[in-house]
Amino acid sequence: MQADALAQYLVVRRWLRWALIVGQHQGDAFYAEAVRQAAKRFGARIVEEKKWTFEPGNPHADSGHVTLQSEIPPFTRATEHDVMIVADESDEFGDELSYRTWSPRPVAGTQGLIATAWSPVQEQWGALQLQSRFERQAHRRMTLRDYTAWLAVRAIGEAAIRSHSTDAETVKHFMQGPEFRLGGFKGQPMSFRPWDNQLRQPILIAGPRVLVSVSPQPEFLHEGSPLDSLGPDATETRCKLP
Amino acid sequence: MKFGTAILLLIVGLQVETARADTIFVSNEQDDTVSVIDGEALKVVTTIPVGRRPRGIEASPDGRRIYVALGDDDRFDVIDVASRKVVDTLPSGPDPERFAISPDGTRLYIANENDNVVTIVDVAAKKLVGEVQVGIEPEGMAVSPDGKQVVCTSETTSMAHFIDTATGQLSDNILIDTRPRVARFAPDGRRVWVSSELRGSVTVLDSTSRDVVQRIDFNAPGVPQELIQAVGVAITRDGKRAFVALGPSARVAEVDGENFKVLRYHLVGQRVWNLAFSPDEHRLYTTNGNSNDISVLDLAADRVVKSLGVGWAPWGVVAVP
Repeated sequence: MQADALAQYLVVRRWLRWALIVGQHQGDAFYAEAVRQAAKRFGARIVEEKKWTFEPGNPHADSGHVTLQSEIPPFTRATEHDVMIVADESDEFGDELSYRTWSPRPVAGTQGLIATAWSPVQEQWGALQLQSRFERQAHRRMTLRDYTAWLAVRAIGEAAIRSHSTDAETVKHFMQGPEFRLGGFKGQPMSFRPWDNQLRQPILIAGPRVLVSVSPQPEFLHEGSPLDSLGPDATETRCKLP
Repeated sequence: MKFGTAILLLIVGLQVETARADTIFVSNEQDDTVSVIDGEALKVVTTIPVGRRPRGIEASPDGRRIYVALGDDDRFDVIDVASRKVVDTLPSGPDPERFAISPDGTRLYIANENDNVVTIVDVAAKKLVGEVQVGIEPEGMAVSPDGKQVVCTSETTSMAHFIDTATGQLSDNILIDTRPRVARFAPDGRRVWVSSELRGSVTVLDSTSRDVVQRIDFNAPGVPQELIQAVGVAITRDGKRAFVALGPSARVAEVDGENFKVLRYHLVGQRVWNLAFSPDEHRLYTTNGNSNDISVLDLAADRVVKSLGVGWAPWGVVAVP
């Protein structure tokens, strides 16, 4: 879903040639596979793929930047590309790539320009009010983890209020049904996909300090809901619910 | 003599035509201005700089002043209609967004989104005279035609809060569809229309019993359901025709004010947010936040006759004679 959201934005920008750097862990491999599928789905091309094999060094050592500055430029030398996509789910090296790549290209993926359900920089659609309420309580901006926890509780609350029930089965049934609409400060009502229970939601495209865009991009159409152009659709799902 | 009468009739006729000329004021949220449009020429005649983040915009009942709520400056700017200049300011409480004016023009009721309160301002004294705690993120504001009730909608609590203006206390809280945006009393005062952004519906409440009279759902052909988000509501003085702005769907729905049937969808600009009639109700104006224009609906011809570029992110609109 996140790879699809990012891919839609990059394709709309016409950044169609991607170099892919993949970390050593299983999560990185899964992310890389999602990127490959998204490229195929939305019309981008992976021109070269490289595996990051360095042991995680210590960038806090006095000469940390010296090592990084000598290692990363040659490593990131790749077939002519528009954007470098990094798959590093455990934050081991992705952040070090920006500004050190051989070619002056943006870094996107798990670091750099990311696709995410929430970001501390999100202020649109009334999110400013949510951020300021959160900040008053927690003395910091709302992160992805904060948001997903808040949203989960809100989903239960919303379903309980609308179904006029506190019975868990009734609430769950309503939450999965077609009447459920969840407001999550992202400009569109959210709901759960019946085929895999994934939350149908807009995905933010953001840098560390700025909101860049929000997917789905209007350039990509869908026969039902544009939100279903992100993530496995009903016809593609391999999910078998009991 | 006959010739003279004909000329006279012609002149009278012309005067009837020009008598409908109105002046339209549009708040532009992102460039801190108010566009002033000549209703006859349908041209922007001037642009008034105001404070930061102008959104809510309403005219005083005598049509001589325009109040503009400034979200980032925590005040109103007051525009003099005749001179088209900011001539005064009024307090508003923090982050004012929508507001409503009492029928006699003496009070402003303001939604303060960040603080979950409705602030009451005495216009003549230029003072805050009351504060009512409501649900989270108050937004829509409406005063009943008799001035006795105020309705405030809270976006995150999803409620319509009824405030008794005599006591300044909450008298009722009614659950509405997700993220209610705008409340509007029908002119006879018996009903309140409340729009829900994320459900894309309008709930019509009985203003005395507070029972739901009707829920109106919208379903414009060829438009994804998620993009149908109900925001601005306008109802004609005779109560017969109602219009609902449907946000990112770029449509305005026309609804029969008596049987609540959706009659048609008018294609307007992008992210249509708020609506206002011309004083003679021959036209409806819509603010289109993402296409930076207003659409003009001719209500006799029942179609959009013009789009007119204004400032950056037009939000609210009001028309005065």
